[in-house]
Amino acid sequence: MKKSLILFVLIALIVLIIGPYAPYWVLMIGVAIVSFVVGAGKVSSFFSSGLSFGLAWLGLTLYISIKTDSELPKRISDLMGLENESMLMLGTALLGFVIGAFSGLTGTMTRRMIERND
Amino acid sequence: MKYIGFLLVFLVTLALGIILSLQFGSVPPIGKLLDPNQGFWQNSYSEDMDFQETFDLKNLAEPVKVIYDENLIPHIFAENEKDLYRIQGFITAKHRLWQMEFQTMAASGRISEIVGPVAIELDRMTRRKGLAFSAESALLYVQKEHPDTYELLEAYADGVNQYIESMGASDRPIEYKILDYKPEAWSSYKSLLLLKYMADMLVGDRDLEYTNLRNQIGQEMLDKLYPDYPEENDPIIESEKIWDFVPLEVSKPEGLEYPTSDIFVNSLPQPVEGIGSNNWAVSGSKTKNGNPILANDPHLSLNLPSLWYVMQLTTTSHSVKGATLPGALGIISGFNEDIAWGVTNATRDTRDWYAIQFKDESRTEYLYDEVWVKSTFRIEEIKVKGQIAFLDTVVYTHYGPVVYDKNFRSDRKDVNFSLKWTAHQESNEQKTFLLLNKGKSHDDYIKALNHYTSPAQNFVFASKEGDIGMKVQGRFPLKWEGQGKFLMDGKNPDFEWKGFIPNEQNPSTLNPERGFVSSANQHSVDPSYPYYIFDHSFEHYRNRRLNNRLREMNQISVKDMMDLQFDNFHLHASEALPVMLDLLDSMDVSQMDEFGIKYLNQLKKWNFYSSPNQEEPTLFFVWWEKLYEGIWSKWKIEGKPIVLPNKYQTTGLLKKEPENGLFDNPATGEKETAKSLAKASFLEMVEKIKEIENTEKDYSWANFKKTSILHLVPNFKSFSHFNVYTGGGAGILNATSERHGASWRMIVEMGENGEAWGIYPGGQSGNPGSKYYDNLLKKWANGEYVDVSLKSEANFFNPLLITHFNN
Repeated sequence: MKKSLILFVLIALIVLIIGPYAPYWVLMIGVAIVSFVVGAGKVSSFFSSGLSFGLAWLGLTLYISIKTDSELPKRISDLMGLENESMLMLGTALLGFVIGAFSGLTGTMTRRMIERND
Repeated sequence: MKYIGFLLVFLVTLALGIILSLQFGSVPPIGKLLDPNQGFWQNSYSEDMDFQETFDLKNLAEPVKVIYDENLIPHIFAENEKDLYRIQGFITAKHRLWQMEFQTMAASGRISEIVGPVAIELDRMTRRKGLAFSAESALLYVQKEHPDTYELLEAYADGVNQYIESMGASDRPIEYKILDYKPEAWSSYKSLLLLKYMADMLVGDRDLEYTNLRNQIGQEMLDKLYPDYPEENDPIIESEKIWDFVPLEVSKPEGLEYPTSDIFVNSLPQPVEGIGSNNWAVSGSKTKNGNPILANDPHLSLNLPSLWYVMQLTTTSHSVKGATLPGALGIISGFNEDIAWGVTNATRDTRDWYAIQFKDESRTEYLYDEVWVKSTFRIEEIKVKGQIAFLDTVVYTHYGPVVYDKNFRSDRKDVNFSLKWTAHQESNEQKTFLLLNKGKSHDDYIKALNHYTSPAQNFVFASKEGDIGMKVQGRFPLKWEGQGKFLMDGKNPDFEWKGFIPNEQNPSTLNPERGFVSSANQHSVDPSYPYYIFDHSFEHYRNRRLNNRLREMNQISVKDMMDLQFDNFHLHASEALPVMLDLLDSMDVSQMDEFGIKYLNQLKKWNFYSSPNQEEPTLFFVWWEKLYEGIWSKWKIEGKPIVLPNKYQTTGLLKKEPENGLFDNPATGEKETAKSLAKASFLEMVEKIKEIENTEKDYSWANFKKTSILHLVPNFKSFSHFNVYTGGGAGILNATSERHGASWRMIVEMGENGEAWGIYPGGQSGNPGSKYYDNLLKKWANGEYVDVSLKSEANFFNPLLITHFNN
């Protein structure tokens, strides 16, 4: 339980601090490494990483939407054929979850494999 | 088993990392786009939320200060011109980078690189017209003959490039993110390309269509329906003007005959009718404050990001403000402390076609003056996104590129038409604007104009000293009567242009007695001008309305000029509708249903204005359209391009010769007359409006006309504005039609307490996420303006943002 909390916090920090300077796939590698180092269980790695990544992205979209009051999210959701901008936020969060979850799982499973081979 | 589980998870993760960053067809790279740190979310910030107060820029001689006003209009305060244009490049790129690059990609036939194979035909056409070829030769010419211009072009390019280098992936304009590509470096060449793009947008010709028409209806009918001068000519240069120069000799060579065969090609798209512009200046004797007032509103395709970008450019020696074209240096339509100027398109046939006879299919030699001359080949490599490059070989003769041939818009082996166009010639239009920006007098204006070749423009002028002037400037070929109206024989040197009209003999006027100068794309002069002038698209309505109003106006204020730019009087309707109603008289009104009677009564009471809430303009528009089709559609033959008589000639024919045999369609059993066609078209109109009333409940003008301002990528519908509520229309001073209209409106009062007003349908920001993307649109639609008077660095009231640039 403790490990998954650490994982959650570290991944959120990666997304928020490294995110502005690196594309999302670099973050994926970062998540995998952190998950490798923390070494939580498979299930908790998957959900901790996914929730952390997804919520961090959701938080960012909320922050940007509220701060800017921009028409852009609406324009982009129209362009993508989505009903409204909430769907777009949800989509962003969901994508973040999937990206984070699989990266976290990969990290943990890599560790398991190496440990087993030792 | 464990390994398989790991492998599976690893592959899924890897696939997510890769697939989400790739573009599939028109689906953007979804991971990159949605990433809130890097993707589109980052484009939500308006410029006032996300800016730098200081910036270190290389190659600056002195510090430069940029102050933005509340509409995000930047005011650049620099010590010298090189710093000024370096910063102009930087600032323009900061707000309009995607647009300026996209337009030059379009001009050089490189859209396929961005959007894929759908644009290959478009790119081929652009390249066959030789736009990139002519920008290349313009660059060599400017480097060699005008090093001073070249130095400034380089400074501007450096500014753009320093912006591009300073930009992180998250700062990239949204269009790059959606279409998944990166900005490339800017260059002087691209600035010149942009000016060629304007030429392409504004210049057309109908030579091939006229060739077919003459074969179809005969020379006599052609002269009657397509006269060189209209009956009520109200030219740009006042008719009273005396031409006090000795013209160059030119006459049609004896016994010369045009080729007579019909032409079956898919002819090039032409500038849309209704593209045009107004400009005028009134002298102090006609204004309330005694100062000259100048007005300009160029009508172009209405797009977002807006074609224009407003700036003030100040050095220690001059201060100029107005509309810039992102990518070009200086102000294009604007004013400084001493002079103001504006542009309208001076349409004239400066594009001619020559039929080429090649020796054999290799097309390496062609016949000219009874000898075989070598042609050159230019291989155009069109890169295509997601595919291998498309290669197009374009043959060049001494006239220019062979645009139409068996590979392009024609399937016949004997079709080889070479294009000769003034835009292909060496020129430095950029210098004209650089000089106008710092001009102080009428002399300076004339000197600046001497560098201007293409696209020919009517340059209006006013000065603080009280002068007003107008000059039709471009490099105009010296032609014998009728030369270049039809496809010419490329073998015969007699068809060559005979030189060029000297700049000082181009039509111009200074302080005419009538107290105003004006242009609205009509004939430049009256028939007393000693040179042959021809174009298919001269305007016949806006010019007369404008001049009628200017003649009767006195004690003019800036507000009056604003009202005139927004004038919705429909002169064509006021001349044609009474004739059409007369033709209907014999019609039994009892034959009509209640709708027909209602529409008829509406039309009878119409005041001929076209405000957005009026219904009569819709009725007239549809009736005229149906009538026009009824009269002329019989002439159209599939695959054989022609042009139909314009509405001015058609109206005249209806009025004066309603019994003329021209109205009859020989293909039908009955004999059609103006009367029968008017009646039939009226009934068609009733049906159509009834349908609109049933489906849309509203046939008011704005709702019918549906003025739309589209993003440059038409698929990006949510970045566009549809159904803008505004009046006007083609041929009306407020020339706002469905897709075209005043792309910039400017009014300048000269003098010590001079003021300037401007507006355009969009906003200063190119970013659809910014509140400055379209904040001026509503004001524009309502005929309102924002203050664009010159501002000083010391007394800048209420700045929005300030950026200091240091070396």
